[in-house]
Amino acid sequence: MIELTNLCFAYKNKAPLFDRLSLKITEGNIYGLLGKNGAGKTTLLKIICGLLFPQQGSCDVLGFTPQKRYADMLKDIYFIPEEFYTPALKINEYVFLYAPFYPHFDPRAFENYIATFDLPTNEQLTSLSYGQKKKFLIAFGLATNSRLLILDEPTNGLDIPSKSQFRKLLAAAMDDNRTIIISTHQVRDIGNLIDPIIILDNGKIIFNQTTESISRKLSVTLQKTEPDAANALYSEKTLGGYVVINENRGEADSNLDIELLFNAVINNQQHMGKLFTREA
Amino acid sequence: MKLHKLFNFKRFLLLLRNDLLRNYRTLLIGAGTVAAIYFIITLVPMIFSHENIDHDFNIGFFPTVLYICGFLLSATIFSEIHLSQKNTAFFMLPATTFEKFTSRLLLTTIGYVVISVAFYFILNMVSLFLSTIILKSGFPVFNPLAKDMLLAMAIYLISQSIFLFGSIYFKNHAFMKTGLSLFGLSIAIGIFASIVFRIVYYDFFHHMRFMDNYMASDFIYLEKFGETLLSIIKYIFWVFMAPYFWILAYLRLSEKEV
Repeated sequence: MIELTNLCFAYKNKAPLFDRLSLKITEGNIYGLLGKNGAGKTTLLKIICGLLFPQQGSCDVLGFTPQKRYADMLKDIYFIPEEFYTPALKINEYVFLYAPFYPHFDPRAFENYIATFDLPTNEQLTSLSYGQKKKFLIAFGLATNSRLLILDEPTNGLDIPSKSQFRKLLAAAMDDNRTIIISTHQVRDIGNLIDPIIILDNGKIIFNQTTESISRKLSVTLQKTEPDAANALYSEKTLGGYVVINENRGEADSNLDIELLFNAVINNQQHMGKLFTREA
Repeated sequence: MKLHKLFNFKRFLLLLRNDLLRNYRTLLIGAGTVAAIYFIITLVPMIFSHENIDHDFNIGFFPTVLYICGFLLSATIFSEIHLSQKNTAFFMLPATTFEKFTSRLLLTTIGYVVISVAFYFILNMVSLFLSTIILKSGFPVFNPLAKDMLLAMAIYLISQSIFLFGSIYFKNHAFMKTGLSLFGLSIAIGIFASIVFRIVYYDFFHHMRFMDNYMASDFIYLEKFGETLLSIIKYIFWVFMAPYFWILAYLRLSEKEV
């Protein structure tokens, strides 16, 4: 579905952000794209959408070169950026003007999403709160039935019930032909949803694994004493002891907290890299 | 590249519809302003000083309105591509860059001229009615098919291409920057032409031989040269200028990143 090969990108008058970055994204998954601030997550998403152009390397999205911005590609991509624009239109006016561009738009599903998110239909989009606008765009994006849905920080600004509704709607909207990429810092909001997990750091993909592979290779334990640094892959002091990530040596699969995994990968790149490339 | 990948008529019509429906309020405000100015200029002097409007009034007023409003419209038609958030929405809309460009080109050229002529005609008819029926005074009738009017429209259709390019090229204040660039370019061309003229005709200026026979014959040559130059400039204006700036604008739009 998406294949980036030896991609190089730099903003004008700045050091290169991506240097020969390669990534393959397949259909039927909800990818979680994680990374620190400035790691290049949004830039990567914009390159995939054809909003930014790589200086070198190739980028193939749904069989198209994104920078050519073909309508046949754009009708199958829906991108909700962290900061977005909504025109001064009511919901039904927006649907009337924009839905015809998406041939697979499902009006009934859209109405259902709007009702689930409890959005007012008679108000102008510009008068809605940030969270409501975001919910509207999520509802519209899901209803387009586009093959690639890209969400940058989708749960920012969403209230607690909406986060839960968002997870349910996203899970329900998934099928084998669809791919969703979620870039976020709020990993707890989408913890059970994303699989595989991609971690980007300093313009490099340092981690790209399925949750099945992660739970097979890593184990999490809670111990009272500080773990031996030589054995533990990562540890964090918590209330009443230490939560420790170790290599899983034949124990049962463990359910790993993504925030912990992220910290482990960022802080122990070398060991984690070796562990996951050993079998792959 | 296959044409259907580049251009789809249905999407093109959807884009036109979206632009018109999304911006109709702005268009109405603009039209209202023009109408107010028109009535103030035409009817107020008739009411208060019983002056008749000059029969050439439309020949001067219509092109002025056509140019100013049209250049403003053309210079702002792509302003959203320079605004963060709005530019993402613009480029992610499922239509090709060619469709997005040509739909707005059509709106700012033929679409704008047709709407302007129709609107101005209505204004003129209202003024004509008010002046003849109520004020019992004559009023010049607007004839959009008159030679001067057709020429004004043709000049607009060509020259708006510069402002359309400006709307894509300049990030802010595209109207002013395009106008100033044109002004600067005219001065530069003027200075360059003067220098060339001075060098080529150095002898005349150096010896100040204004009255001699050589000079008279050379001035005839110069006149011919001027006429030829003028016809070349006219040819470039009418044939090449608009396509040149439209192509340049389209390419620039295709290369635009957010």
